[in-house]
Amino acid sequence: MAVSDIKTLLNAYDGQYLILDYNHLFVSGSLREEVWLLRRADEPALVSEILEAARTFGIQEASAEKGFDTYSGGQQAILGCLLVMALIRAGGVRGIKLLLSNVMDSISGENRRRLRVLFTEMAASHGLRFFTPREGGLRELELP
Amino acid sequence: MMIPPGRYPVPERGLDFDLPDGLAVSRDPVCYLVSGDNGFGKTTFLEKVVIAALQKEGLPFLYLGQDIRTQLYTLRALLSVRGAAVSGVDDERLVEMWIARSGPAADVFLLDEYDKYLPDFGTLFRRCDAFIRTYFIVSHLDPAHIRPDPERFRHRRLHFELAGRDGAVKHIRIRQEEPWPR
Repeated sequence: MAVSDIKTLLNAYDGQYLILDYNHLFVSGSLREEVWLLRRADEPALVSEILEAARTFGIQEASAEKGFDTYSGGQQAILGCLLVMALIRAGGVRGIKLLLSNVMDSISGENRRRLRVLFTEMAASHGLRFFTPREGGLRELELP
Repeated sequence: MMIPPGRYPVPERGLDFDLPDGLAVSRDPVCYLVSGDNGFGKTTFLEKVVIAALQKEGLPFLYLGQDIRTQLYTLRALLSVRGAAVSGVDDERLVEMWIARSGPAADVFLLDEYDKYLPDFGTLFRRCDAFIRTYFIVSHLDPAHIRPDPERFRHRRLHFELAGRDGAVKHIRIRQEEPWPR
């Protein structure tokens, strides 16, 4: 597999998949800002929900205002996943296909297992499906 | 060069490392496979302790960081100003060109989760065979497929584990062990 290039991914899959790319996880500097931009409103309850979930992944230091660049790479990948799932829940959107590019392999084995449990819940409640790029195409994640 | 055992606090990142066993660098060929949970400071240790020690000793090194896209833009620009034809060259080939031009002066290669971009390290190891004597490889994947020649390199696992928290500071113990059962 070559280094995933966001332009290549967008050209191939934009419009069909929601793409979460490790090298472009966020558009702003903190969780509060990110939620504000993506929901067009300050939503402290939504941020709190993400922070609570982050603590179950051992990210005790997470806060609404903490800069994304002060988290480790793996912690950022986890926060990106938690954020997108919270936004999908808040928006009541169903049937999204989420393309995770270089995200899962940035996360430790234990945290990957925790994340897969949440993915399974989201698959059941919101029809969310998860994919990763593989040589010549995509592979759907097998969930427990 | 030796990174001696001891405490290595990095207060600006809220981390305090305990290294019970020293790390031999650029002596006999060795590959350190770095593992541990997210947020335990693997990258910080490489950047603030290992690279700082290499720079202090003046030991040349290569480093491929986690945020590869930014680095690839930089490599493309660097090679271009040095006269290399990089237009249309893919990322994998770009890294090979960088190693060919910059590598032979280096003794140490640090690869931070590079296997998530290019799982096959075989070509990369072969390109570096003549000069690299120490690897630091961070990975969350199975390290068995990313080891350099086991006949030549001794392999050690550096496992980062949480020893405790003191307010906002995480105390991290770096355990050194055999990566695979003998």
